[in-house]
Amino acid sequence: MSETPKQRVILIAGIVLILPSLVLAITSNTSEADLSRGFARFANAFLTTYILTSIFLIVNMFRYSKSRNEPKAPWIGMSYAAILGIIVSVLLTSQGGFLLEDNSGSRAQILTNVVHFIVTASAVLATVAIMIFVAFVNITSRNQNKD
Amino acid sequence: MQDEIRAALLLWIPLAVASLGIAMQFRRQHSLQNLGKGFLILGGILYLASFLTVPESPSAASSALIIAIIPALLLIFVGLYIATFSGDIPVRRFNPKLRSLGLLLFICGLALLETMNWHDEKWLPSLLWEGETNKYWLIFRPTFLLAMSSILFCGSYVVKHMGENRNDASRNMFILGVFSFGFLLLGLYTDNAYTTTNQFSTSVWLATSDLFGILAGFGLSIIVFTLAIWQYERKRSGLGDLSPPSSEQLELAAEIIRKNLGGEENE
Repeated sequence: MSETPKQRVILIAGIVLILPSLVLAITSNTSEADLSRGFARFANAFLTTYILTSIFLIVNMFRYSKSRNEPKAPWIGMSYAAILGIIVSVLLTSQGGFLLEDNSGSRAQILTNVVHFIVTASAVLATVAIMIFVAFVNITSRNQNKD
Repeated sequence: MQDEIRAALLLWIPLAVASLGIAMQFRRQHSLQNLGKGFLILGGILYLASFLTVPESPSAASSALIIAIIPALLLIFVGLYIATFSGDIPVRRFNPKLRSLGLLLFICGLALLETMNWHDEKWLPSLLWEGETNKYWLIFRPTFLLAMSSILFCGSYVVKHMGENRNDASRNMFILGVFSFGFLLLGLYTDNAYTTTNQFSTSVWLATSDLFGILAGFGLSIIVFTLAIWQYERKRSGLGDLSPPSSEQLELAAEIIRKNLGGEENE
């Protein structure tokens, strides 16, 4: 496949990916309270994912360092980025912060976010695995039927 | 305070140990990788048992939910594994006759996951926690269905356009995506055993926010990671500073290439 149609396929695939969410957002009756909760949920999910993925990437940065005479700059830079995320998260979830959901304080909110992330990530990973398996099941069945 | 220490010892520290175990899988030494697997199993078991050991912690409801959905997920994945590896592939592990059994297990798994939501029967794993619907079920189900419909629609489109003769695969993925989207819409207009339409509508809205938040957070961390590496690589001395290869080095390279060239000559 040439470069331009490939890019077009990726672009349309991205639009298809968010299509069900858009349809649901239009069809469901969302109140103003839901909208503000939705924004808090988005920001919490964003910060939690950013921090946890950054920590995971710092661990990977050690492997990268091994192949480059062990420089310190890349993983120190990455660590600063993760620490910045943690500081922002603590500031925005501290007492009165607008990211505080149904929890009493910053620590409770951050711990809730971590568990929330585990449950959500499990759901997403399960669906990605199902998609890959379903694709393979269909492709291998096609080869079998051909014989 | 006593409860907080118990929750830290029996839930949060095991969770941290399990995460450390995952991180250790990226080390090169096999001994560290094996130790990491041990950490992952130990931490995972302690976390999954936290709904029994620290039921007073609100986060323990997540482990109760994971235990409740494990049978359905096992059916789904064992079914798909059997169906995949009984197909026409070089690494076939099962008799081709088991393929339909695999597909049946997969459908049973999905049906069990949905039945759990629509019927509150004694023989089904319970989705209740402290007398109410487990709050993590209100996160898991909409996220699962929404992610499944989105990813399958997207996958169906990509499979169709990125390969040849993939129409069957694309159509089946699309049909599965339509089913999961249909269950989402059904939940928005019909009460079920655990949620009202209003509750489900809010849950779907929050699940959408969650998914977009996760995508954005993941994307930003990847951008930061790329920038950190790019900044370092940019400052390294370029290949132009290297001296040209000596005749000995060229001979060595030629020898390696000669040894690695294979295949039969056509002409």
